[in-house]
Amino acid sequence: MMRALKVLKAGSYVSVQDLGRSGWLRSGVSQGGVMDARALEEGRLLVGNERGLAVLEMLGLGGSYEAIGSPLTLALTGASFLAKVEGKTIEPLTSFTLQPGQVLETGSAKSGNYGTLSIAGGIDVKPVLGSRSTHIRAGFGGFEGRLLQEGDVLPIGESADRIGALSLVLEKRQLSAKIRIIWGVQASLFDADELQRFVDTKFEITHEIDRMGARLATDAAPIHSDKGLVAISGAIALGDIQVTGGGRPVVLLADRQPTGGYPRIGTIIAADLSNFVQRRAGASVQFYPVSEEEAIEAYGQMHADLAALPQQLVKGFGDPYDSHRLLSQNLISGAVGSVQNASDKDRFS
Amino acid sequence: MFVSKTKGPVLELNGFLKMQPLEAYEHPRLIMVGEALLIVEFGARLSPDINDIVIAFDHFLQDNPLRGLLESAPMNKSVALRFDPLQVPPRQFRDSVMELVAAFDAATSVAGMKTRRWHFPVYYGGDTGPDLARIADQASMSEQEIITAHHSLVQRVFMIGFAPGFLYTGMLPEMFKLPRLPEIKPRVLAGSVSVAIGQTVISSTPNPTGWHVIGTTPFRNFDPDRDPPFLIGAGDEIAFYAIDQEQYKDLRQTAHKGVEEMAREEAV
Repeated sequence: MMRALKVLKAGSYVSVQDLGRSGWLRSGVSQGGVMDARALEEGRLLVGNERGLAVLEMLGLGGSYEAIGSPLTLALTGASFLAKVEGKTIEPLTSFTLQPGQVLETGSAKSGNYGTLSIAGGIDVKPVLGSRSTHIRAGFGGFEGRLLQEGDVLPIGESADRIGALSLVLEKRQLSAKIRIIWGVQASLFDADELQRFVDTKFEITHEIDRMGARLATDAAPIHSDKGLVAISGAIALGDIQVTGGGRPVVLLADRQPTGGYPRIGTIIAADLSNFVQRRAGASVQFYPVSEEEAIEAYGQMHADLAALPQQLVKGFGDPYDSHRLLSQNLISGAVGSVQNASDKDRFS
Repeated sequence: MFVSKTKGPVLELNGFLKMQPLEAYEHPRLIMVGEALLIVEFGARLSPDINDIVIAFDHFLQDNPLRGLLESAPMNKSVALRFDPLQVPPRQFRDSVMELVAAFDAATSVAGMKTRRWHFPVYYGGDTGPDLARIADQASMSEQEIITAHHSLVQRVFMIGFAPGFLYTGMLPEMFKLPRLPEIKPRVLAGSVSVAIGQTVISSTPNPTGWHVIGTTPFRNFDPDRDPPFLIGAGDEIAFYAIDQEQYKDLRQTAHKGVEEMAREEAV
């Protein structure tokens, strides 16, 4: 029988995503892929997948998902969702098994925006332009090129059976309001006073957030340019901060348009993107310019942190019926020291 | 078979495009965007000469792969290079690009480029070209005169951007040098043919637009179910021709069979 995950109920912005597609910028296609690369890697390790397989990405609200045909090993990472199987709480950062007929119910995100549901074997939809990521606006890739809805049945790839569950014992992610940027070449369209005001301003994340971008607001006067906000269209980088005529910045994200003509004042450094995309509506952000060298050092550190994740995997605690045994209070409160002691003997390597 | 690989005559009108003064920089500007995107800019404004150099340099890059380069893309007046800054730090990557630029002979490379020409059907006006009448009014011309003016000059594809397969072509005669619309249209159909600032843009997917929509084409430059999914590239030429609503419907129905019956391609 087919191995699948059936959508009984979907949040309003749930899609199939993977690492995204490379090599199509010349054809007008930006990379796409998961919003939170760190969450993808955590989930991959927890369910034992190879790199590059597809997951479900859920913005704000999860949904209900039933295992079909075979037990499925799952893990929730990224935004922290309220999740239950048959009334028992499922903790984030822990793999668990969903038996055929069992339903995972995920509610609203308690913290963060984008949650990732990883499944052993990955979501086995046909790659388009080298990726299983859904390009929502253009309507291709992923599952029928669209957001998921009730009744969809997602084919799941084969995977080796796991013995027991795994948890990741991590320091709670600090979602800092301080977001580092590199100034853009078009920053020269703005006066020095306005650039200073840009970094002095606490912006608020608005409700206009999706895979294409995040609009920011401020009570202060709009960031202003006398030099006219017109430029000939050119390539847009992930994390570019665009300032339109209204002076309200928009941060351009995974499914951004690949080219554009509005000036971009700066770019969020790669190491701070996972942090930025998880800042919720109403949260503040303040931009902090850094040098290229500092950005690269932070990016290198991010990769080193990801490479060290396997050492933080511990066996056990993944069965939903055992979930009260999970290091839950520690994982959720973010206290780390005691967890390390409790889990050293179970350290998975 | 509508595809002709024979060498056709270059239209006299193409000379119009070539007559604009060369305004390329003496040395291209290297511009970083964030820590992983390098823009190599060859001139300050939109011109076919500068765009020729852009496309030639993009070819040159493909023949001389750079360590750390993930992908390159020709734009209006620049080539965008996405690279892995952990494999090759930005400073080092810029140095290797500078070396490549020094070895690049723009004039010879441009002279050696082959051009493809696509014969590109457009159903002008009607419900799917709602802004044609206004443009005619503003220019004190008939709709037919505007249509003729639009397809009278062979156009070049400057770049593909904004959305999958979305074509930026130019340059058009004076009456098409219109400002963009004050209000964005939230959604125009796939296949929309729109004009502003002396250029035509053609969509393959539904999009918001601030351009004046004058027609629609049955042709899709991007079709994820077709192999290859993209057909037209930067530097190709486009010769628009007018079709009526019936022809539009017929061609749209055969769209899945391929492009032979629509945008005919020939080497020029």
